[in-house]
Amino acid sequence: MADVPHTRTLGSAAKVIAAEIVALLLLFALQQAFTP
Amino acid sequence: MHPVDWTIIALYLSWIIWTGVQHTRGSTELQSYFLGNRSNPWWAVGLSVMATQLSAITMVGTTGQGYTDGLRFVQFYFGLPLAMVILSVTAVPFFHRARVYTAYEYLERRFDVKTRTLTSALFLLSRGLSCGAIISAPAVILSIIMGWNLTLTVLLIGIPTAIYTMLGGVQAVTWTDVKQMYVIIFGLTAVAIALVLGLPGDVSVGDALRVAGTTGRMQAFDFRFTLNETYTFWSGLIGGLFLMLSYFGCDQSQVQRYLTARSEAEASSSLYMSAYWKIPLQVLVLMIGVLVFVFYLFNQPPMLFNPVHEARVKQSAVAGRYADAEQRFSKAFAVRRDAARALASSDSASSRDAAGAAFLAADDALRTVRRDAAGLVQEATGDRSYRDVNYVFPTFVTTHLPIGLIGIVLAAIIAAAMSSIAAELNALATTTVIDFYRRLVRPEAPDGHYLTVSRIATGVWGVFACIVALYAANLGSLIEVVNRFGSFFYGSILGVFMLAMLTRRASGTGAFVGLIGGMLLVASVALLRPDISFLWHNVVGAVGVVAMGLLVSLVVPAALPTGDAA
Repeated sequence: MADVPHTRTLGSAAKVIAAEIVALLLLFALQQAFTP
Repeated sequence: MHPVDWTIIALYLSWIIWTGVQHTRGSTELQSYFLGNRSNPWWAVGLSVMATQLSAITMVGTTGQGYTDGLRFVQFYFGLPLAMVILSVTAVPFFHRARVYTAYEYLERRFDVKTRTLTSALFLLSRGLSCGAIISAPAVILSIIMGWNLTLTVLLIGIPTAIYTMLGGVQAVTWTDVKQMYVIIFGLTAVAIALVLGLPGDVSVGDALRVAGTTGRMQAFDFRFTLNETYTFWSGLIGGLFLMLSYFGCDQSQVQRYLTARSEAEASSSLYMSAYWKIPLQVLVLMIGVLVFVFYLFNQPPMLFNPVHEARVKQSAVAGRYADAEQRFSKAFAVRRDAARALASSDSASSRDAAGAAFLAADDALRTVRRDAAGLVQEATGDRSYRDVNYVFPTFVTTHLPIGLIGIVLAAIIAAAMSSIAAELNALATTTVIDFYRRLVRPEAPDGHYLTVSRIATGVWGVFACIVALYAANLGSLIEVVNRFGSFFYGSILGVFMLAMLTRRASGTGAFVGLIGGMLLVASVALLRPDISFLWHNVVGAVGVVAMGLLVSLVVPAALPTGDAA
């Protein structure tokens, strides 16, 4: 039982970090596509 | 302004005040007035957190930044998602389980009353003054662009906000924030669409972004590691992380938002909303600035965006030289417009290089004329730091958007201001009543008494903020002083909370001395090394407080064994 919220917290944290990495990669791609 | 736009602003204000005042009936005791009985869903709290952070200065200043510098300012927010992850496992459970009204209340449970009082006093001092600046900045810009009376503009923004915050408490703040966030998102999206539709027929969005990219405006990342530049990948990730930890974890104006969530898990989810959406939202705001730049490549902009300064120069001794600059500006604009069109339509790599070089030369020539004109403003007005970046977006909105949309965007700017002010007034009143009045002046009074005092405190802070706003409008440098003063202790307060939550050895005296030492350390760094960007001050302050606090705690250990309130 004690592991459930802990696992959920870790899962949410991992999703946030993954989303930030994806957002930064997309932003980097945008930069590279339009910067000579 | 057209009556339709006035009607939209009037409807918006009525809607918001009605929403806020509706919550008066539910706010009958301190718990509901300040914490909404901890009953709010995560999405409403999340939108309130975002609305509080997004002030009118962000809307007007950040679009201006996109116009002049492009996307690089987004790096400032790179530490935010990480901060939210850390706070969801530290501040959120600590504050929720401690059942506190304010973040500073927690510090007394962990340390002592002097540490609590000092941090809450620092909060009142900095936020009380900055609340004035938050009203003043958009009021000055709107009054200049729209020709409105400044005092009336300050009151138009400040009074309704103070009234609904005073009557409805935190629930009024949260639920008006939700609606204001809808207005802001709708306004920003509508402007972005209008800008795309406003491109010349033969210029696609891709062409437009390529032209903007030639000037470096699509450069979002700067990977240099330097302490002197504010907006780099590393300063945003590390300095920004400490700043966001302090802002969302130790600043009552944000902590109070997620204290109203109905559970710890929902409070965390509300912070994750910012973690997911803040960077995309900031890119949208900056991209609007970039697109305004592209728009003005094909449509002649005013030479200077501040019409008051322009009018003063035209009536001064340098009026002739200004008229001459205007002629040169028109010619330079025509050359740049043709160069931009040539660049947009170039399809091979070699022709693109040549067109890019020609465009950059034309852009440089135009900027030289603008610099000359700004110099004339300085000569005529004595204003040594002429900057009109904050006037770009409102000028575009009021001169190029269709009737109706102008009203919506102005309502969105006012909404951005009001949502931040309401949260601050609410937090200022909470800290005043909980950390000072109830703790130090009158500890044993009935709940109804505290509720009345809380409403009075909200109203007094509202009046104070409006007075500061009116004075700050005439004392531009005061705002800078307030911001600088704030940056001295933002990281230091974070250091105190780090000592409270992450260590068991720190004592009350250690935390108190560490806090003062940390602020002195940051002040010394700011004075002796002014080249170091302010984002790093947060790191210096936090690390300084933790180090000094632990050292002093070795000499003066905690008198009694301390246990976490959690």
